[in-house]
Amino acid sequence: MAVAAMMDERMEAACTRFLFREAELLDRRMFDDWLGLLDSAIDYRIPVRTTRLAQDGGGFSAVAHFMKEDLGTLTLRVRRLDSDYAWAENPPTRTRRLVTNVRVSEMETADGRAVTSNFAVYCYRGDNPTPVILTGERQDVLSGPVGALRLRRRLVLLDSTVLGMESLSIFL
Amino acid sequence: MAKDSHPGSDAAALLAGMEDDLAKGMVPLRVFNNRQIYELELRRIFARSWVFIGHETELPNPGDYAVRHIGQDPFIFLRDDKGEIRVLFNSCRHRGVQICRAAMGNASEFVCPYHGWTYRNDGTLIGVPARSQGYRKLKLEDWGLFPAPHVTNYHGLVFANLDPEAIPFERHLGSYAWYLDTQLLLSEGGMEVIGEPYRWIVDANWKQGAENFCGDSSHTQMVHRSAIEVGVTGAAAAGAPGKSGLHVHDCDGHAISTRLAAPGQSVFWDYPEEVTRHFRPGRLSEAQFDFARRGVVHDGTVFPNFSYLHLGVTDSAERASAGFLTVRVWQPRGPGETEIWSWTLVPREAPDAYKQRAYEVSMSSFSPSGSFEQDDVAVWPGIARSARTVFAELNDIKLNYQMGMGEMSDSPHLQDWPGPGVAEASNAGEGGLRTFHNTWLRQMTRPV
Repeated sequence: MAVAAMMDERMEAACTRFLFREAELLDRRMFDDWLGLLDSAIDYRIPVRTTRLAQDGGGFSAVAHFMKEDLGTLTLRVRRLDSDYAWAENPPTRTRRLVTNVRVSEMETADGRAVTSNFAVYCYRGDNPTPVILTGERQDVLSGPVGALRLRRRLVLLDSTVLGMESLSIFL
Repeated sequence: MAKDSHPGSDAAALLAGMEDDLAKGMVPLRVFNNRQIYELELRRIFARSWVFIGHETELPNPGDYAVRHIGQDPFIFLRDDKGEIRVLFNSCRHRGVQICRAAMGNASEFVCPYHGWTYRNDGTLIGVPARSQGYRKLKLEDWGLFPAPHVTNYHGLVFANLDPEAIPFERHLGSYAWYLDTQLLLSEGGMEVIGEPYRWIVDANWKQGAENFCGDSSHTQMVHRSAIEVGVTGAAAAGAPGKSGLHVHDCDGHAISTRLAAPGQSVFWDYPEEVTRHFRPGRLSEAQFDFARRGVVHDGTVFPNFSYLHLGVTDSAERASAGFLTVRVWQPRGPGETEIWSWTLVPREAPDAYKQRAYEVSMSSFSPSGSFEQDDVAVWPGIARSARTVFAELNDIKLNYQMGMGEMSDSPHLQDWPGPGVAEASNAGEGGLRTFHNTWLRQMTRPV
């Protein structure tokens, strides 16, 4: 019992550290290092959301996505950002990610461990002193042992329906 | 140099001088961010043009609805219980409250949350609270939701017009139908929408996207250089202007931009065989069908703010280029703010797996996260910023739209092009953009 609880605490701390490390890499635009945190079978999705009546559910589309990625498509996105001519990110969006309310599942599935967190990303573009703030929940699955966790799945559930910024040229 | 200018005289003076400006291939910078011009646009363009509302396949079932906009005005796009598509003003006849408060859903009736006036989904008023006590003489049939005066379903594309005197959509489209039909009618089933539309906000004027899709072929090699560098698409589709490009402008007020493969080649925007085997001339002429067969890229705008783009791209180094059609609305939200709505469409007969694939490549290229679209919208806000400067006003700055105009061009008009409009054998030109602004000016100055 005590050993199991310790294992859970170790795993919880490791998952939280993983998410903080990931946020650091993305804020610092270390995209190649970020790709290194991804499982080769990564399934990464940001569904489109529409405003629905309460009785009709959360409004997340099963079909429409802002991003629906695997390792190949995420790698191509990163390669494009290497270009000096990727104008949406040159000058870059300055981002600050706050990752909180981390909830680590006690159960492990074949894919890994479910980790849910809340996020806020503050996006500053140009000299606009007012950031666009994207918030939402991320439902992740982290694979691998404590010392070598990798992101296997990510479902980003945005709180907004109309995207309040001109492009989604950052990773969430 | 500087002349005395009063902000209040802007719109009339701008419009008065624009015919001469356009004849010289110039457009005043200020039209891209001017409150007076914008207020006139809402009334003279959006309140009396055919505006895209949605696609019929977004509403597969009776009662399906979605909220859409004409200018900034909210309308309910719905399929009533009898299956008829309607466009109704989203405002209760009692106090004006929005009766439809979700963006999409299904309803057989709409109940106003304020006092409970209740409308059937064909717009008829069917219930009023305390009617027997206080509304005994109310004629329900006089107080239904306001319908858009004209609605048309053009091969699945639904347009509405708020002008009771509007000309029919087919006349508005005119001979440009030759080009639009080519995008829509390749297979018997036509096109269908995949998923809900993207919606996002750009700090730019609505005309920016509308004119760009009319034939701005020289921006691709610069704005989209990063996408070309990583191989999302080939130089044939997005490289420097050249002889593979064919522009058609002055086509009854509309324009189309293309990049075409050599005669005899079959490209069909990189749709795979499992899709193209459903393509046949059918409702198209042989010339239209050949135009589609050679299609590397087709993009155009149906005036005022509906644009389409047919092409093939890929999203990964490991996968082949795949074709899709994206359509979009540049919905005005202010003189310097636009909400972009965009949809992905595929031929209805395409296998389900291909539909999903087409959605993915469309998302990867032309969406808020798209490798192409990100960089368009990164530069457009700069135009809106310049347009509202005092400097632009004091100097009456005109922008240069002269590319390919008259003797500027190295190639003559095509004489033997089978389609309508003025065809240019080169896409090193901005005739389509001039067409857009000429149509705009005609509509802005047309007597009420």
